[in-house]
Amino acid sequence: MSKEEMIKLGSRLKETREYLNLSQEFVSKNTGIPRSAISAIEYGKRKVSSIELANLAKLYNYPVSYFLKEQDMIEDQTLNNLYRAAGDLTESDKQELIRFAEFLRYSGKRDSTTRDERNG
Amino acid sequence: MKETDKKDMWIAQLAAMEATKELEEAKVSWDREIDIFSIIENAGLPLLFRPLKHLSGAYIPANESSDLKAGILINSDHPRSRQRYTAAHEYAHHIQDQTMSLDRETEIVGRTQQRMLPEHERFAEVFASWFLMPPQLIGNIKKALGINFDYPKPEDIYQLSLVLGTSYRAIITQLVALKEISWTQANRLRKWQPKDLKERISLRRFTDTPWNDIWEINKHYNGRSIHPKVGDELRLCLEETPSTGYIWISSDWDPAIILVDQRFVESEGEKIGEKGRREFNIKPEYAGESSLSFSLQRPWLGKKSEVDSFHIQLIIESEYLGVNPKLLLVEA
Repeated sequence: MSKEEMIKLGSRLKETREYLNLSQEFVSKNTGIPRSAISAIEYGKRKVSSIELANLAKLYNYPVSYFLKEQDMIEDQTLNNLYRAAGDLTESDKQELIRFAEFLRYSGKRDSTTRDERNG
Repeated sequence: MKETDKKDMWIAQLAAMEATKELEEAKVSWDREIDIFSIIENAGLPLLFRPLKHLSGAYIPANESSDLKAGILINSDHPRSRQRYTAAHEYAHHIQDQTMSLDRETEIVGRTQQRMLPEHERFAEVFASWFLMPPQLIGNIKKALGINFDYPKPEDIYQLSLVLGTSYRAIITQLVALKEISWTQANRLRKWQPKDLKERISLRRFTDTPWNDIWEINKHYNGRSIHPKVGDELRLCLEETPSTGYIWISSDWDPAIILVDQRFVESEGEKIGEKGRREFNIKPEYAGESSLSFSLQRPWLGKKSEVDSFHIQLIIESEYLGVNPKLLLVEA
């Protein structure tokens, strides 16, 4: 992973943690990654192992792929309705709604993956 | 009766019935505020608090084709009572028809203005009122706190709103809907703003944020559980007669709560040392569960001389932002 990719990954992890309003202490306690390492990872100063990334993604309720590659814009009826209904809102409110829908989509995806895994 | 009135009444009845059914299924206690946030989370709906400019909240329904889970977004900048009302309103959309809802204003708007709302919004408004302020709960708290609805005092209604975790305006509207108070009484109560009441209670200009409230706690609160917020003022008043040697003493003091000051106030017309009240001015400093315990005793004889006691459980709330971390741990 290049330095640039490390910084991008770290900043995505930081931004997600802050979106959910989780402290570094909480994340450290529940992933086993030392607090200082979380800080270094978020600033792209330390590499994150695949196990660490899997644990962070699991805690944040997002798939690992969310942190590794640019996400495509969600295309579905709900999102189209959301764009339409949010027409007169401020840009920041629209962004919050889209971000929330994204969070719900990944929460739902994780549920269906867990469901599929359970069903065999 | 006009057709529109009949329809209005039918929507209100349906919403009230749905709210009652949901409360019974959630097995709520009828003596404390309804824990709407936990009820939503227990229903499997992610609940997220974020700063929003012109939205009170939003409900996004599930979409199986894209694995989108249903969830509720709440404005983290709003006062807690309003957040609770918005949450109940959005939950109604989930219960009712699971259609997307972006609510610019979710504060209760009163019966006349409710008619201007689309049917599903009217349903959500009535559902939210009945969910957070069901008659059984209002009746129990009114009785326990000794509030008289025949001559409702604004200070009493404000305290009722605090115990129920709703806004002052919302409880007035619900009391009218339940025919507990008349329109005239409601209009008289509405002349008061919570800020004015806080100033009247505290006898000072109230410059704190609208987030904070002033609780007037008396013997009626003994054994109860309340939800003050970090930074609220708790004015605990307990009757005392110093000439008997018995005074109210705190049996233990949680560091999460600060005792700002205490004083003895003589009752009007009483001689020095006769009956009066001891006032404790208390401020919760940190969020979490805590309690206050006081014992009426002769200090030189200690606990064995106790003739009365007072205990109250405090669930100290802080401002919510993001997601409830406990839910992520369940998911993980």
